[in-house]
Amino acid sequence: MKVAATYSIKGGVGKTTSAVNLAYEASRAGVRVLLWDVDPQGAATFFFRIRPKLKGGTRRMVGRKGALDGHIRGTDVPGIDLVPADFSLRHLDLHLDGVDKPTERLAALLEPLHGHFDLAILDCPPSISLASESVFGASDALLVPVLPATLSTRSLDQLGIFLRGLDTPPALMPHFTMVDRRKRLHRDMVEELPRTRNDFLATAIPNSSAVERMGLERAPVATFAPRTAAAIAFGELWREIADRLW
Amino acid sequence: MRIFHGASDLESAVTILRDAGVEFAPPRKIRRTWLDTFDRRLFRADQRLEFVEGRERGAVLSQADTPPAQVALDEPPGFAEDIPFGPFRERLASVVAPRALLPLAVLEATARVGGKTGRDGKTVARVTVLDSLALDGQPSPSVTWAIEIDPVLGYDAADDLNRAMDRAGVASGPGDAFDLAMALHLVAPMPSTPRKRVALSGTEPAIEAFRRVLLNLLDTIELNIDGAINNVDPEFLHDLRIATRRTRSVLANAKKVIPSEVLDRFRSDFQRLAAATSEPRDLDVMILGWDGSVAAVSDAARCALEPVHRELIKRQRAAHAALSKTLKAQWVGRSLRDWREWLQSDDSPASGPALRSMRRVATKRLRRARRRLRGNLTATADERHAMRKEAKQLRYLIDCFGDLYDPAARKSFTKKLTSMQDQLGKAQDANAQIVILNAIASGLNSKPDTLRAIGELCAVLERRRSAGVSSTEQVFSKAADKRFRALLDSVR
Repeated sequence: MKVAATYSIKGGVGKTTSAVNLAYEASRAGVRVLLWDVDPQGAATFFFRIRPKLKGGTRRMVGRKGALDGHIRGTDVPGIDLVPADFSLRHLDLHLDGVDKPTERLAALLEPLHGHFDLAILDCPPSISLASESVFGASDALLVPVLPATLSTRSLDQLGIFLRGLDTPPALMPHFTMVDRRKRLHRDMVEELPRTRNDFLATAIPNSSAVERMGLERAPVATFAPRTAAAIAFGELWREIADRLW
Repeated sequence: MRIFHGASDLESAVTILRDAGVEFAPPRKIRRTWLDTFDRRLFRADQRLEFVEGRERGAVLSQADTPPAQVALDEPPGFAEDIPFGPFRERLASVVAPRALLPLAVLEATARVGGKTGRDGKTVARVTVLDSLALDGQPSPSVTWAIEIDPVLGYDAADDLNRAMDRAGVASGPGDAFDLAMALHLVAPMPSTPRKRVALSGTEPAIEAFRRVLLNLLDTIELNIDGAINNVDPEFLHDLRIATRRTRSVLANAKKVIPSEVLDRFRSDFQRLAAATSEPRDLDVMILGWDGSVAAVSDAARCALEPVHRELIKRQRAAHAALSKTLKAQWVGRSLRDWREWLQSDDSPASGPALRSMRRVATKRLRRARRRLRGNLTATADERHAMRKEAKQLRYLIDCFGDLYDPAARKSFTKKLTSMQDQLGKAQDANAQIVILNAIASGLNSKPDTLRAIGELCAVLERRRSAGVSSTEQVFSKAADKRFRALLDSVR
């Protein structure tokens, strides 16, 4: 099973949108997906219409005797199962701090599921914390949505420096989101950056009202607007990611 | 999952579900094809592969305790390689490769797909109503409709629906429509595959042991002959060929055990059968290994070899057509029938090795086969080919009568033998492919760059042939002799 996390220090860049839509595209390609909503906001859980509740809360889930399988819920998309969020995830750092080898805990929770899924996608909150380090320890790849703005690329560089200090860092896979091709800066950044950084994925996700409608439809974009530029872009983005993962 | 079924009054069952909160989409025609290998590898691995044709077309691979994997496809997959690259294909190939995927059953029905929703419109149970069922084109005699109730992980709603249907007395069983078809004996049963090794005590008379071993091999030949005729899966021909070779090896060591007139006739018949399988198998091996072979040539040569690839496929089809004609010939059917009849009879020499214990006869025959395995690995191609044949014969004898010996002693000796066979086999395959390529080069009206590319590929194969020969340990070394003695000493 490969593990990928949608991650960014910054909020509002499209982590959950990417997680949900990439999970959908992966399932369409025959990949069995476990989407783990690790963000107390529970947006991925909301999109899949699942109640944001973990029996026993986060403490029990990540505790010494904790396990994921009792929390997994089937979604309306065949091929995608989900571990829902719970508001108690806001204390994930605290609970991880109370266990042995906290930076390995999330990987240990995923370990028993290796034969049951092909891909786990962790939808992470915007932070840099012990929980983030545990995510890094569990992941083969970090999918980092990046707004086409200078400060975004600066925080990407900071993340890269941090990851280089780890023993086995996950592969960094940044990609542009919310791209407005009417803006010159956006066009220039989307053209230029993948040329200078070979970790940057070539596909950029456009700014799109279809993506905004996800909150109303509560479903991946391709299920209600399959011919939009955003839905097509997520398909292409998935294919790029799959080439790198397998 | 549970499946409910009946022969009448479908709408009462549907009403029960509607009253329980299930909503249905409009009906539409669907077709579901369940696929597995000839020897039901997916079934044995508790997996199910289905090709669904409805609003969309695609393959679904399902297994307990894991979500189903689905991928869009235009046609049912014939092999795992027909699935687009990714985990679905890898998982399927790990179970089925290299065998072909064959249709086990085709269900046609009018389907109403539905579900029960909970909070926020979340689907908490899935229901599929299948009406006007036809299996393999025939309306089902005892069941005209079926309803699959599929739970969604983490939700109990399906249990409520099941209870409602149970209370109404609707007949049911576990699983899906395929499970129902199997329970009603509407799907062909799994073929029983012959055991790899026949149980032998060592004290039985040699004639009895030889009969049992040869009958087991005949079962394998008969199991694979139709598949080889139809050529849907190269493994049928491969298995047929191995069983034929093993039969020939046993017969070559059956003098004075099997009456001479019987031996002469069937040694000749199986030699004819083996000869008929050579060319199509050589071409199968070459085509199956084509991508690996051309990976070692230049990009330009690879493109220039395309006409050669097409010619190989053309020759393969012709060779298989000739094989199919041979296998359907009267003499083959008659020979196999007569052989079975003799093997199941009491006909036996009145005295001699046939009546001695198998333990004693096997030891003597193995020693003789071992003595015939002589040679130097730097000898000529013909001498190496002869060595390979003798090694194969010895190996097949040990395999067929292997139950007489201690498994560890058997493994210890055959490991080296197999290694040598594999190396010489690679060299032999490379040699056969060079011969085929040269024949194509002289037959095809080829452009100069195609001829150059053939030369480049032959050079790759020549290197493979030389590497195969030079890396092999000598089987007649003292260490191998020691292992062979240990094998014989371990006889029951």
